Amino acid sequence: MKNVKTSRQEIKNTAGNAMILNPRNYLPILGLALALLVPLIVTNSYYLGLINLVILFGAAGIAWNIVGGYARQVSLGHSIFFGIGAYTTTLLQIKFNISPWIGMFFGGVFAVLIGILMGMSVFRMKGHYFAVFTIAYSYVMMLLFQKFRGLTGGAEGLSVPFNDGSLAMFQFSSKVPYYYIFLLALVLIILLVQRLGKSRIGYYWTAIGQDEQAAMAIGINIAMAKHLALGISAFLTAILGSFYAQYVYFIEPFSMFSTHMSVEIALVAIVGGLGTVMGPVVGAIVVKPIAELTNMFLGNVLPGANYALYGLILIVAIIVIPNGLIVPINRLYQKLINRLERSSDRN
Amino acid sequence: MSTPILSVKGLSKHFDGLKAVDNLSFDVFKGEILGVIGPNGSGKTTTFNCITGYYKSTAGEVLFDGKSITGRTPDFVAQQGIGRTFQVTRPFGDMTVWENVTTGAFLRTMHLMEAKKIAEQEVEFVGLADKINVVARSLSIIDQRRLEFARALATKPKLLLLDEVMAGLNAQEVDEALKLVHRVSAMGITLVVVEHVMKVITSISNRVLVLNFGAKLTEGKPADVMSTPSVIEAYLGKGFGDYVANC
Repeated sequence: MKNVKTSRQEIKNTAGNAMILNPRNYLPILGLALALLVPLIVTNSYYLGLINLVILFGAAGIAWNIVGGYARQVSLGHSIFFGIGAYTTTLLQIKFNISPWIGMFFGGVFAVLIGILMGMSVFRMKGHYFAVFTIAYSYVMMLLFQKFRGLTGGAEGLSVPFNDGSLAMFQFSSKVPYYYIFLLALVLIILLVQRLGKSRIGYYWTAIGQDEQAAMAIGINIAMAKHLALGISAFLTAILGSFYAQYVYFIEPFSMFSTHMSVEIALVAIVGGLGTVMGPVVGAIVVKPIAELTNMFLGNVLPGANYALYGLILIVAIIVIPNGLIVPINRLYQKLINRLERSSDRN
Repeated sequence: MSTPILSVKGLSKHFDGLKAVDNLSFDVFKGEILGVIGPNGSGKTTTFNCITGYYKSTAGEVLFDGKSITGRTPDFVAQQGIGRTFQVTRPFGDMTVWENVTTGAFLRTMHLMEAKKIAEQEVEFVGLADKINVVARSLSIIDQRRLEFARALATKPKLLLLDEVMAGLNAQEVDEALKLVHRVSAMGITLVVVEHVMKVITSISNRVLVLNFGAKLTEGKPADVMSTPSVIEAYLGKGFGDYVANC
């Protein structure tokens, strides 16, 4: 009963207030405005670099969440798409001097094709088998990229050709431009996934994630919906992979196609909140700095202990808040909105 | 009542050596409520699963609206206009009642607003309006059944297969559910109802189909079927004959 009342209240409030005076509208804009100021406040290059990775992995987590969170097909092979994006843009630059801005779309399309091939075999698998198969595929990728060294540079990896920094070649000497480009990508991906979540396909993905048998009974073509989820997810992940290559300048198959990379992408979404839009962003804000800080403080003193502590913190986080860190944050956000709405009603 | 909306012809489903359904043929006519009864393991649910595409039948043919749907996938069957509920309820647990039913309504529309509106009507129709924003997982059994009903109705089916929707309900809830079934039937939706509760089948059905060991034992008007000795023996057991006679 309580829920019905609040939803009616919501309708009343959105209708009654001018668009910009509604906290639902101005709070996200305020948040974005604050985000735009970050490079002015954080001038330390190391910390800004960390923030850049938080944004990049937050975005990758959202992309992963489409297939892993909404449709609950837990992929532990997303490094494949990340790596394909990184390699395609870098190779196109080296061999044909094609700008990463163009190359990334080739990477995206290539990732979708690989995703379709994977999906055809992997979507027959259920639950854990699906996850295991995606891991197997990422190993296949890693070996292929190590083996065909003529094309891929082999195990030694590839360096992004240096050209003195230019927007056209997506290369900057400062970390600030990267920050704004990554932020823009994050905002676009948030808007896209928000829209998808409110569309038919978004409802279908969630339904499939909950119960495939029941989903079929109401006419949902499971295979088609899953392919679409993996395709969109693969495309976005590949784009972010090319961003990553342009940011770190050096890629090699062992780390690009590693399960470690896949887990890192998945973890951001799992810790933050499966099947939620903003969950992965929250997840990245928590997971990435913890990994970085444990490494910084313990990495040299007690090598290995940093990973143990990192793991321990994640275990505690998942046990304490099994539905993701986004849940308590959402509750607080809701309270804030209600309070602001009440105070604006009084005026 | 003369045109069959669904024709099952020589349907068989064998699991290894077990003949769960064996050369079964029957028709369902437009607008009727067909009750399907039979002892445990007589093939009622298996028949449902073969019609709706959840099982691949070993042999036989299923025609819906004159078109063959034999061997088609469940989503295709649903798109053609056959809705179903499950013996053990299968709500989308983390979604609210409204979201559950909206997902069903999306079969006939692309637009969220329209789907939500259809869903709201169906939720109201089954009597869940006051729980429309409740998460499905936390509903009671009867409410989960109502939810499945609403979700199936939101797909605008021509034929609805109900698999033991009364199981586990108390007497008052059964009465409510019966009223609901009658109202659905009044809307012009053809119904096939699998039930264990005798009272339900006799009071609800225009015709009754009796299965035993995967084959048709008999079919006909409820009163006639109930007094057939072979039915009483197979389904109700010998001692039950007296009870039926007294009804």
